Amino acid sequence: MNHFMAVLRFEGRLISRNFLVVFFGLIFPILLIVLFGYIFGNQPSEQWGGYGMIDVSLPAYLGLSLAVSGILSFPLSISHYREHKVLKRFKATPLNPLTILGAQFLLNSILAIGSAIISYGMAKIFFDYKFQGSLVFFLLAYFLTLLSVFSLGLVIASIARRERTAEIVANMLFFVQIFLSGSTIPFEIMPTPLQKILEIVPLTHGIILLKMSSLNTSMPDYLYHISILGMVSIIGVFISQKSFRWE
Amino acid sequence: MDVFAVKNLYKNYATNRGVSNISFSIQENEIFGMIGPNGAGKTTTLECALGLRKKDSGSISILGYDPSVERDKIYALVGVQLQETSYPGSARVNELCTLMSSLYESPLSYKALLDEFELDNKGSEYIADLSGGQRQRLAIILALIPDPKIVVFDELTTGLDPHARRSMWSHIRRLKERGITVILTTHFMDEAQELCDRVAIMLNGSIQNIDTVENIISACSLESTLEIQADPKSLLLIRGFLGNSEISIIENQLSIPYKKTESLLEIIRLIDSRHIKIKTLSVRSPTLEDAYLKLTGGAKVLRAT
Repeated sequence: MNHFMAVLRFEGRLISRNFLVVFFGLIFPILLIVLFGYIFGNQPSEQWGGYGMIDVSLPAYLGLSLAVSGILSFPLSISHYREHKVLKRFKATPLNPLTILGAQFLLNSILAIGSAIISYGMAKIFFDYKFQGSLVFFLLAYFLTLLSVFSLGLVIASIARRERTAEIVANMLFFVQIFLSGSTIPFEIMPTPLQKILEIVPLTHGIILLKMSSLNTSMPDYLYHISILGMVSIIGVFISQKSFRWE
Repeated sequence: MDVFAVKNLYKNYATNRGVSNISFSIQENEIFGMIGPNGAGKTTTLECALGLRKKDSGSISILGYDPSVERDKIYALVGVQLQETSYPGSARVNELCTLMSSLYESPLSYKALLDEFELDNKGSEYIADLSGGQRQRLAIILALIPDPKIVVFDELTTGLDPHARRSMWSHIRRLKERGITVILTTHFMDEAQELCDRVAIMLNGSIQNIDTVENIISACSLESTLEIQADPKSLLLIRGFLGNSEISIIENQLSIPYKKTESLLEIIRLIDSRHIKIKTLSVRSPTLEDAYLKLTGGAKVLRAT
């Protein structure tokens, strides 16, 4: 536990000095909410199924912010450590590598959660956003989505030998996720056959759950979505456990 | 007392680099050097011995512990500096030292170590802003924080300028004075000759030779050379009365190979007795580098990288 706190403090300082990570993890999703809220407003409209633009978009932006922190940022520092033999140096100390993974996981989660709370505040203050569903179910959906998205990042973090490799894989995974999950292009305006195809992307299920739980719509398939997210998380953790590389 | 013993160590890689049948032991408070071309197996040997890499077979004992079984016991007793490790540039020196200290039960005060290694005013600097020599001194400090009995330096001085290298030498000697056993690898023969009590020469994955620097050099039976500079006439005169067929004259310099100190004194006495005017006179003794080149030059370097 002492090790964990020490690593957390150290890594926390490094993250706070990393402009790109802080900007895209914390500030960027908030800017999106403010920008699109300013352009489209939050008037109930037929186009959004009787809800306002922000009502349906906020859950999608939360998914986006999870993808930024979990897929883009989280794996990079670990693969950087691996490439520059810092992990190997730590192997020659009593430190467990899981401690570094854990600290990075926690710090990037905190960025995403912080971004989510501020986004919610902004939406509420400026665009009269109303949370209409079950908070417990919403939080459950949020943390399950977080877990599954970060587990994808965890796989990259555990395997990529070079930072550059991690960056390329993370970017590919990220853009596929955000364009095909409904976090940028609203799910509702896509044709039904396409919606079916998008289900191969794990984040899609997260965003569907976040939407359903925040809008209080009927949720016929929620167990299906939950089990997919759960499976992705378990597989991700399993792969990274099996294939973690020190160098 | 042996503090570090490797016996019949084998390690193979798919790519054919590796080490075979490595055995050596290091005594308490020795400075032990490993030299050899790139790819000879120095790093592989050390990292397998430390338990940082999986060995194929062989037994290791470090202060009585087996690293593959009792890894955690060893890491407070052995401080390491690994080749190619570069710490995050956006961390401050103090922060990295604090992190390292927190990993051990009774660490040395890193502030005192920063003082000792002349980094006392660099504590709040970013690692990215340190010079190469400062970074390597920081690497020594990080290796010393656990208060180890043994330190391992893998190419500590590679890439440093001559001043920084020499300052490393005095730091390493001071570690020995503190009672620490030092194991190092280097590509600088003068460094190994200057610092090491014993040296292992590695080539193509095995140990070619292991002995004191003095013994290694004398075992190679290399000749020393007396070099005399004077005007050409005097040089011809000297060659004439010495009558030695191995004497060579190039430009204004005459070189006389000899094996024993007595013959050197004899030559000088002869020159002196004839009152020949010479400009300079110097003696070149065989160095570890000469011995190294002789020992490793004949064998083909199979796996140089």
